[in-house]
Amino acid sequence: MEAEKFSYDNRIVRNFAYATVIWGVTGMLVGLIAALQLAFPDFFNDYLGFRYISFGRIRPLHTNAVIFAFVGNGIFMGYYYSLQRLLKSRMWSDKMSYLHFWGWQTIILCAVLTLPFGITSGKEYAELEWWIDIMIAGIWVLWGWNMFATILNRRVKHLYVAIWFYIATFVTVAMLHIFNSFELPVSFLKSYSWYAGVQDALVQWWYGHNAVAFFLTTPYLGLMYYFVPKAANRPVYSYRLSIIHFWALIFLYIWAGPHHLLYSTLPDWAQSLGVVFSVMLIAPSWGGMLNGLLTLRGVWDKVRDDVMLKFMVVALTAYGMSTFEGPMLSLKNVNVISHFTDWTVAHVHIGGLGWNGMMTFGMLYWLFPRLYRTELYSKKMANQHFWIATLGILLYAIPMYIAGFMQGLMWQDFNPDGTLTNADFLKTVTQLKPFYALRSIGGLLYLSGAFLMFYNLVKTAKSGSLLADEPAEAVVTKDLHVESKGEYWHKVIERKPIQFMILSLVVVAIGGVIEIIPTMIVKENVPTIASVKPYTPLELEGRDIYVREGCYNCHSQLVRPLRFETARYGDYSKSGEFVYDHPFQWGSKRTGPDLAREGGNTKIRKSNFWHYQHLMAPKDVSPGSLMPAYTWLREENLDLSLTPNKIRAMQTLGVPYAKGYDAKAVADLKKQAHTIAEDIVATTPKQVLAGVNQATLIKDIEQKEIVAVIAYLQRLGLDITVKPSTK
Amino acid sequence: MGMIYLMLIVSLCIAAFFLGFFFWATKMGQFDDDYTPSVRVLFEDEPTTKDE
Amino acid sequence: MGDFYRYEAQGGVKPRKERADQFQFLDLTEIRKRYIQFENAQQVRVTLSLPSIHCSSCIYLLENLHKIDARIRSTQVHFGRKEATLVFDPKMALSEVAKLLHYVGYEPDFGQSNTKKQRKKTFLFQLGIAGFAFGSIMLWSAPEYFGLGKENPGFRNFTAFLSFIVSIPVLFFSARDYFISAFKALRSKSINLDVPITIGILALYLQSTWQIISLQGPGYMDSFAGFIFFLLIGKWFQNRTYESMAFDRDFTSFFPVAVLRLIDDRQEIIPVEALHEGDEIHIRHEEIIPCDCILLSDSAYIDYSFVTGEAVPVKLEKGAFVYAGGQIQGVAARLKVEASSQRSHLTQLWNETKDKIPSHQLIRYQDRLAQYFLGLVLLIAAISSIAWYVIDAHQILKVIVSILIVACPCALALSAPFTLGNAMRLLGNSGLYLKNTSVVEALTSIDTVVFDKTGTLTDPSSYQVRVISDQLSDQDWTCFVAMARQSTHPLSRALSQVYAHLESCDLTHFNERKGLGIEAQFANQNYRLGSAIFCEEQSSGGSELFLKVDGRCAHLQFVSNFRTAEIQTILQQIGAANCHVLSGDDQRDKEALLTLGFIESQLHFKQSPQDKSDAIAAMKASGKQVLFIGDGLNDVGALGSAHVGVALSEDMFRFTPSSDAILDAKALRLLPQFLKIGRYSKNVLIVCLAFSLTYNSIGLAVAISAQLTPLFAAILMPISSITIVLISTLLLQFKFGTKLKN
Repeated sequence: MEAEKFSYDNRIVRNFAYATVIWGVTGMLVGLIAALQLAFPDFFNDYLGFRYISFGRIRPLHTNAVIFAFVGNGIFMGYYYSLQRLLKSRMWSDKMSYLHFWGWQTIILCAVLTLPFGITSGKEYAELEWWIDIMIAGIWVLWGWNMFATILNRRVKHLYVAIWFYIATFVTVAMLHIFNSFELPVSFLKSYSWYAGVQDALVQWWYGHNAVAFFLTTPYLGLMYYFVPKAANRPVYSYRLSIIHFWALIFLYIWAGPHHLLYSTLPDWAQSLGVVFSVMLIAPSWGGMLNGLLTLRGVWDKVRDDVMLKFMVVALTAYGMSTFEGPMLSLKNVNVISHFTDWTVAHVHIGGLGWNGMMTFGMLYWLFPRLYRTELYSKKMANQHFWIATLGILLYAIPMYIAGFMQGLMWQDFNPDGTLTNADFLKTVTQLKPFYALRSIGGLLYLSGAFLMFYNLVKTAKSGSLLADEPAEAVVTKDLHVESKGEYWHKVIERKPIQFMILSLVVVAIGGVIEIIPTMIVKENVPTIASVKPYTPLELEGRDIYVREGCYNCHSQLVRPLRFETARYGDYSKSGEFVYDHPFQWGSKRTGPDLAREGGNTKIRKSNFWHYQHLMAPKDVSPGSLMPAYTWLREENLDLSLTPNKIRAMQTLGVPYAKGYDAKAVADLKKQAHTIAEDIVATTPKQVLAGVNQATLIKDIEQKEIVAVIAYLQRLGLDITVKPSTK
Repeated sequence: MGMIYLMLIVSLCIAAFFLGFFFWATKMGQFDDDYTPSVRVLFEDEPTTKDE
Repeated sequence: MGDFYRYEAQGGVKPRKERADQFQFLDLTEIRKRYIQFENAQQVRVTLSLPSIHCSSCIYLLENLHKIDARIRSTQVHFGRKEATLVFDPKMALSEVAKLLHYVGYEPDFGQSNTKKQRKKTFLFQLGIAGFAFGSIMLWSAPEYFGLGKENPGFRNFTAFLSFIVSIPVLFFSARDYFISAFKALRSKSINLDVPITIGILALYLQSTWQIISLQGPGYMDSFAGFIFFLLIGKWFQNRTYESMAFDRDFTSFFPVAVLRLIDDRQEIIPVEALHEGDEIHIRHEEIIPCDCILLSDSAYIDYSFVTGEAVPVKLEKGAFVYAGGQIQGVAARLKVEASSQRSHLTQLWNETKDKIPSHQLIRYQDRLAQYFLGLVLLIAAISSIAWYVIDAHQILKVIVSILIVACPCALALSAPFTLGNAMRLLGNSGLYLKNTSVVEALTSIDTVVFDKTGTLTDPSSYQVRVISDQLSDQDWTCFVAMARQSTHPLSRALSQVYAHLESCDLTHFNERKGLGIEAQFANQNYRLGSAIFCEEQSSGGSELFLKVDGRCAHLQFVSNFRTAEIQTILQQIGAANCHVLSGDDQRDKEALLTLGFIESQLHFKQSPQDKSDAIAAMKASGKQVLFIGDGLNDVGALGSAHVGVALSEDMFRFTPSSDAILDAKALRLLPQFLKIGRYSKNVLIVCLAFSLTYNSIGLAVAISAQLTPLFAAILMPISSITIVLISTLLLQFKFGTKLKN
């Protein structure tokens, strides 16, 4: 009998490859713009003043673009290429492949079309709105379906270690995405996270950490196990180690979420849990790195000549560095310094630019000549790219490490008399500007390297022709070892992929129900604080604008129980304060000061007029501030059409508004807005108001969004620090 | 901390899924050979030319 | 690698021609059945051992067999085991498959049985469950470790309950082997190490279960799962073996599976087992004689190299007794069966020794230790319960349970597997492959080394040539060496090596007469190179070769070279007084052996296989710990009766007689080092045992004072286990790791 003849689908690989490059360049460009905003705020904020590229809106666009568009497409590119070859089978359904491709690009396009417009759910790395979340889940399952069906209909029996990493990625990301994205839609463009406060934070960082683990790490490890041996043309150093590595990683990674919340209001024991497991993670992570690097033992001369291998070596080294650094950062005494600073930014960029970026570039350089049956257009240019990119990473990371370390220490400095050395938060930021400028150069280099690659790859493609369906031949060895006596149960299922999928969905659904039940029966034991009351409608609207503008990208709302924090901001945060926060807004980076006690701490609390002025022109109030001027908050009228809906949604989520309050909400809102507007006008210096009709001005201001934001900011921390009577 | 219970159980479910996967793989003999597959991936499967 | 693997029918391995009917026996239904794993109308599946597999291109070539013969559907190679699983068309006979494999250079070894591995899978399941449970429970217990468990009793009870559920399969599945072993030991009224282990595990489990059910906390479930996990890892380490090597070859692995029987001038193929005394059989060139026979043909050349290690065939006359295991060279022979295969001399020798009880010296030592240990623990428990009766009677139960828990000799149980496993790995890295870890135990006390001579002390691939007489011209020599270069006979090869400096010349009419010699034409003259008969000359015995042309003749004698350098190193380092030689040959090499440094009284010649075995037994009886190194089937008895039988092999994956260890001939000089490792590993083991007992004592002290907490147990257990692992690995590695490299 002849071996079966079939063909591999290279077109889908090509599509994803182009998407990777295009979105990669786009995402990096957006990142560069965001970086430049911090380095040259005057130009961007005063001169351009575009609301759609303000830092708070564009930073989520950057993170989403590089993670889900650049790396995501990179993953699929590598998957579609390697999976077919490892299984010696074409993808189960071409239609699904292309639906997956276009679906994924649509999702990205949706992200591009929503995030700059402030349409966001306000949870880091999961900012996309509810209907995009549903699309993501759908497309992800579609992809999984196609992958599993291909696996079940494969020609070879053995599943190479890379495939296990692929499967792990699929399963866990699906689970995490679904659990983190429970949202209650208020309208097409607005939803509230189902969880509140600490709970929301916990789920979010469980997701956030595992997004790193299972979106940026496991799939790339799988790809590494395929592409590094292929490129070096030698078997992986130890296949046995790769098996052990996989299982150790899988069983440990799942547990290591809470380390992002050190010193938060999360109970001590839950934090400790995360730390223990994060530290344990070093072993399996390094197992993978060493296995990859040792694969190249004896062929280092090849690494010198082969640019693709060079990229991979740097990628593996970066992986080793960041997986060593990660657990270190989860140690409490390191975390004290690093958290909320640019150290974290440096850390993720070692991972992102180094591990994911360089690995992706390596794969692209390896794939294009093969897809187009030709030689790489210019090896020299690829080499130049390598050096530019490496230099870019260094220029990016080193200044950021210094900046992070500096800022972390500056926050902690005390004068001998017990007062903070840098009581003015702004001082700890303005000093970092030179570093922000340097890292922009690093980013620029990295981006220009990517452009160079783009050109090189397009030229390569032009010089060859796409082998859309690569003919292949293989014998079926899958059933080689199946015993004749009776079939295993899964053998029966394997032949029916659709039934299998339905069955697994049912299982997942049952699992989901079982998982939900405990949350319903287990008594909520977040310590409730009697004085903490739901937000007023105006504050709620203000909070939504706060979320819309992405304020959490620069301002945290979490005071850690550390002396230098409480001295600066006031009493440390308690879990009970956040019970009505859908979603939580703790943030992860302080480019501006923490806002948790903004309205509550009498030492910090400012007047309504101060906030008004600050939002309109930050630099007038705080010279040297990096914050954009939010002039559009003064221009836009507050949209009240959704307010009753929002109140009802909050009631659904368990916020104790009085029954029927949704009908009264708008009236209450207007009343509060009027009071604030009056106060602003009343405290405005007389010379500013010269010749202005105050009544008209109040009427004007009270309708604007800026009033809502001020109301929200003034409410922050108020409930537990100030007696309600002050109001 | 209801959330912790949820996460614990979800994590446990995933871990249990992988344990099952591990069993399945062992049973199917996926770990019988811990060397040959690493060499096998290096082979290309181009079709043979007819004029052999 | 790309181009290197490009398939070529002629490339890589040299295709070989098979003898006609060589594999015909495979088509006998009953023989075929032995190999076929699965068969239906569409396909047949078979797994064959292919000892020639040696590199990555073998994988490529074999897995592309379907490109050579389309009836082969698929092939899958297991490199580690040197096996290939083939699926082929039912229309293709098994003999054709074998022929094809032989043709591409991978002759299947039909002597290999393929019954392995089921046990390994169950073990992996056990390990997986224990690891999963250990990891999960550790996680849930983390708050407990930080002393935070009481903050949140709801969560604590919840996780405790989860731990309880998860640890059920650990108890009943992962740990079951220990219970079974302990139960068996108790039933036979003895105590082994598994008894205190079982007691400890059970105490741990029951105590924890009680705590969980009574909502007092999570108990010691983490320690429990951890114990089992570490114990199983130790077992895994101990049980790792060299998959591709066969240590337990049955004599049948060397014998043909089937033979040609002659009945009234009719030939039929029958399985060897069906042979009876008096049957006449027909054995062809290069086939092995499966049973003791009488030669019926006028004469025959028989190569006893499998049996004795001597590479040069001997000539036997009609009526001579032929031992099983000889290989016919040249002209086929007719033989009459004297005794069935099962009852041949060789087989009987084999059978006598095959039930050799493995030396479990250290294990027994450990078990004895376990007895005292258990006694001591029970005593301590008794005394402390009396003491506590006086102090605080409520604590008695807690104290007893605590004592039983910390006295669980987990680290003790890990000492032997890790020490022996590491030693085995170290030895394997430098060329001595042990059958299992109990061989390391036997190695620890070896004081006497006994060598087989032929093939062990001598190098079968290297000869000295002695010219007895020479009437040839230089031109003649050129021609003869050119002829010798064409032949694969060991003596021809030796000849061409010794005279490698001579040029070649063009010969015609080259003809190899099997078992006799070769002839060729040059300048219209007939050149003959071969045995005395072939050249019509007078033989003088031994390994000899005649070269004859036109009445002129040269007579050469061949003597195998000794592995001089290696032997001298060994004698120096072990001491000649501890080295003996058992040789099957006559005394002709005595002088040479004495020059090498052996002591005359310790050289024994003309030893039959049985003699060798008896000699070893006598040495053992006089209290010596004997290691025997041999290479032939005639050494099987000695290999079996020695404390450690080492088969020396030039090619590790080919025919080696049943033995405890296989030694790469290249690593022979390291033998003294190997013995040192053996002795040293005993010291390492003692250190490990001391450490583990120390840990137990610390734990006991805590337990007696009723201070044991789950956290303490959870820390003590992994720390003691990891210490043992580190000590055993590092001590051996530092002392020998670098030394053996060169």
